[in-house]
Amino acid sequence: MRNITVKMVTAYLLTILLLIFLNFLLQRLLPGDAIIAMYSGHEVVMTDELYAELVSRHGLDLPLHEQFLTYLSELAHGDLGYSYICHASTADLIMDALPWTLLLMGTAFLLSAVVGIVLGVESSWRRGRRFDRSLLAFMLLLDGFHSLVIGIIALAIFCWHFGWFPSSGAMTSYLSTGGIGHIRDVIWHLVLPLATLTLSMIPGDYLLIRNSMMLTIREPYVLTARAKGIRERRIKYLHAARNAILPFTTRIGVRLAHLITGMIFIETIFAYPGLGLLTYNAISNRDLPLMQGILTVSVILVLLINIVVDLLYQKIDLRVGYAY
Amino acid sequence: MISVKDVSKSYKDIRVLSDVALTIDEGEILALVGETGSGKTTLAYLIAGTIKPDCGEIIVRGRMVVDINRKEFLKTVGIVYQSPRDSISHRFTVFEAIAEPLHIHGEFDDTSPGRIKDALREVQLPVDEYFLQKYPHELSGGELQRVAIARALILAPDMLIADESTSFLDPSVQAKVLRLLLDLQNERGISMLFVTHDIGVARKVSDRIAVLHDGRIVENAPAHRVIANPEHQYTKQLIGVAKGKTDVVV
Amino acid sequence: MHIKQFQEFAKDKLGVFGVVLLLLLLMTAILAPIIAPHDPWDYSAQHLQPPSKEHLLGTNDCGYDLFSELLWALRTSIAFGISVAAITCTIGVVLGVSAALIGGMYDMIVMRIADALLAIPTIMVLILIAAYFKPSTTVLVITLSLVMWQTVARGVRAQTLSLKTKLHVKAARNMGAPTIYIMRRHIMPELFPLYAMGFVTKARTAVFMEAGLSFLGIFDPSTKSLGIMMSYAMRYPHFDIWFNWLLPPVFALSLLIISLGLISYAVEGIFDPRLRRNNVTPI
Ligand SMILES: Nc1ncnc2c1ncn2[C@@H]1O[C@H](COP(=O)(O)OP(=O)(O)O)[C@@H](O)[C@H]1O
Ligand SMILES: [Mg+2]
Repeated sequence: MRNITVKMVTAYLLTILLLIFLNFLLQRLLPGDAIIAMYSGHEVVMTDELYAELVSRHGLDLPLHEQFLTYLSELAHGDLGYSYICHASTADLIMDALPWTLLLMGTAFLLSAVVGIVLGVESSWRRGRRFDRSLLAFMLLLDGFHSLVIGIIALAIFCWHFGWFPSSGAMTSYLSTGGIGHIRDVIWHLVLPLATLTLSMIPGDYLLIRNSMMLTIREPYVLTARAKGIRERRIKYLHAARNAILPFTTRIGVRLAHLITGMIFIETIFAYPGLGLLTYNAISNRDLPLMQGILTVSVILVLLINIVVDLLYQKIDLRVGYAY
Repeated sequence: MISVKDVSKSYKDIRVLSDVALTIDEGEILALVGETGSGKTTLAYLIAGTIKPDCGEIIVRGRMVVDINRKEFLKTVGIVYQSPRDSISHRFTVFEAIAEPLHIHGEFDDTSPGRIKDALREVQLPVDEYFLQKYPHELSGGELQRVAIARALILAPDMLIADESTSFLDPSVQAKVLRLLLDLQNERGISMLFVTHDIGVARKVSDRIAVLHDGRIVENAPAHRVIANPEHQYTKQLIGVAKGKTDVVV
Repeated sequence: MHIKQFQEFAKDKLGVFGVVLLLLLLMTAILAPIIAPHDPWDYSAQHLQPPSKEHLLGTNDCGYDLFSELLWALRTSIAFGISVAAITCTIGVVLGVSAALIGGMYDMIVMRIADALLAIPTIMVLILIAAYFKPSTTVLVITLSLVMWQTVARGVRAQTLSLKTKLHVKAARNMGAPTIYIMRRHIMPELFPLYAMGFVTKARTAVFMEAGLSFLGIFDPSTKSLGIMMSYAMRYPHFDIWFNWLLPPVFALSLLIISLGLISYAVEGIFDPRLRRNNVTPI
């Protein structure tokens, strides 16, 4: 276990190193004048004063190692730079968007995991039968739809055609009904992005669980449990808990990468004001400091979730071990 | 020709060989006997130069093995392993398997097909195209072991190491392969290290028998003397066990 | 691949369906210059025409023939998928095999980098690099390959470690074979199912990424791409264009990803017979 922890910590440190390397070097490697390239959006009028301020702000007049130290200390203080295009600090922009993204991603992650686990377990338990085969075929088909595609179809049908759901935003501004009305409004905006993001995640979770169940379903302890007459659902789900948690934790990085990718497209399609839409806007405006900030925050987020899940898993694993 | 001087070898913390001394003369057949796990293969690999001793030295024709160019030295040793199914890749045809040492040492050229066929004749196998293109799963264990022998001999080594090469074949096949090994050794006049766990077989094939027990050589004498007059208790035990079985006919 | 594995694959109906579908798409992409009725860069037609004999899917807001555009966009997707898959697999196989064979410090470094890459959202890195350098498609292909090799390397390394202990590999070593030779003759050929698997899954991811990134506006807008077609079509929600402008690229992209997904699932089944879906094992 200790060995695994050391490995994990090394990987985390390396990840952060890679990130810093990317962020720091990209700025300096930029062809031509970094400042001009970074702030060449049309909304910025490049005056001499602004230019000078930018040079000193990025420490571009300092030697490289001092620039690096400046960058590190800024990062440590949570200073992610300033978006001259939005006239706001990058950290503020991200903090405004982050809650919506966390709401969307967190809910989608949990929902798809629950649905994926239940369907995966039931499917593997009836392996080779009609239920399993049709569900598997359906999931493979669903897995073939890009989150973009699912989003676009949902948008076209439910927003454009029927007009049942709003096609942009996370809530109605200046809503007069307080309390419950406000919550209903937020949910109403969340439904479509959440449904499409969840839908795009389910096949991956389902296939992961189904496969891992198939690989261990005949392990001695399951057979023993059956022989002892322990209730089927109990075995199924105790067993599933053990098997589901392992792939979920070892592949948490991959799952999160999927989730983030899907989130960017879906927030863009539904103009949902989270990190994904912020990214899209940063791309459209070539707002490089903002993009860097978003990358930093998302990597740190992924790392934090990884660490929490790893720690959680070590606890759960012990308990699941005793259950048999 | 080869002398092993006070060689010790451990894997991690486990000592496999301690202060082993042994010599193999030019043209001699030395049988190395010991039970499974006693370190026979380890000693054979040390002699073949494929692994390095922790301490002690191995001298070949007056030169230390560590000083000889490793790749050149490996050419002078041919090894036949216990299971030909494992020691020959299932993806290689008969031709490719025998050609492998030639490829590794950059000696594959126009004369090679001829050499390979000669080697096959020597081990009494067919040399037609059809046979050359067969895969291991199409051959019997005995045939495949002959292919392995041809492979070990293709570079005309000075020494042949047979590591339990007959132990896992059918008894009838075992005798034939054993006969073949002896004939080849005799024709070529090369030295042979014959590794086996069966002292009965060792007696039939070897000039001299060395017994390995608890990481040490406990017996090292001409074959007839070892059998007639074992010095060590362990050797007596081995002979006792061997007498209880029907001997292999050679 | 061994004949047995082909037969195994042929038994998987969905897998075979995936192959047929992929071949059809591949043919279409290869023949695009011949099939396409118009030059996809020619915008002389009348704007926003509905489908007709002349323009099978009508024209877009600039007067491009949508059917020709669709064919060329499919071509871009497939070319992108194949190139990324090929480079990713090459990097993954070389790093995975060498890490397993060389071991020690080298192995450790390669594997820790692989772990670290897992936690970095590929798409963000690509977006950032794309924004900074406005790179050509080739550079994007290479960048994507540089951040995607780790799963291939992992699988290949695990398999190599088990192959390494096989007697025929030791035998070759004992004959004096250098590591390169062992890699080429004894290890690489055994890993074929892993390449097949890696190639298909990586091609799938790459196609996915290409569509997504071009949708977000990362690529040069004059490129013919399914994602770009979709993003332009979405600007006209009020017009009745979704069935001839928006749906065709959506449909083509889905068929491509579905076919790759089906194949990769079937290959996985060959790999581990316990996963085979047609087995009915009463428990
Ligand atoms: N590469 C290795 N690493 C660790 N232990 C080994 C290795 N090779 C052999 N051993 C151990 O050394 C002992 C002797 O092995 P070996 O020389 O193969 O014996 P034999 O050939 O007489 O059966 C055994 O206990 C074996 O487990
Ligand atoms: Mg042995």
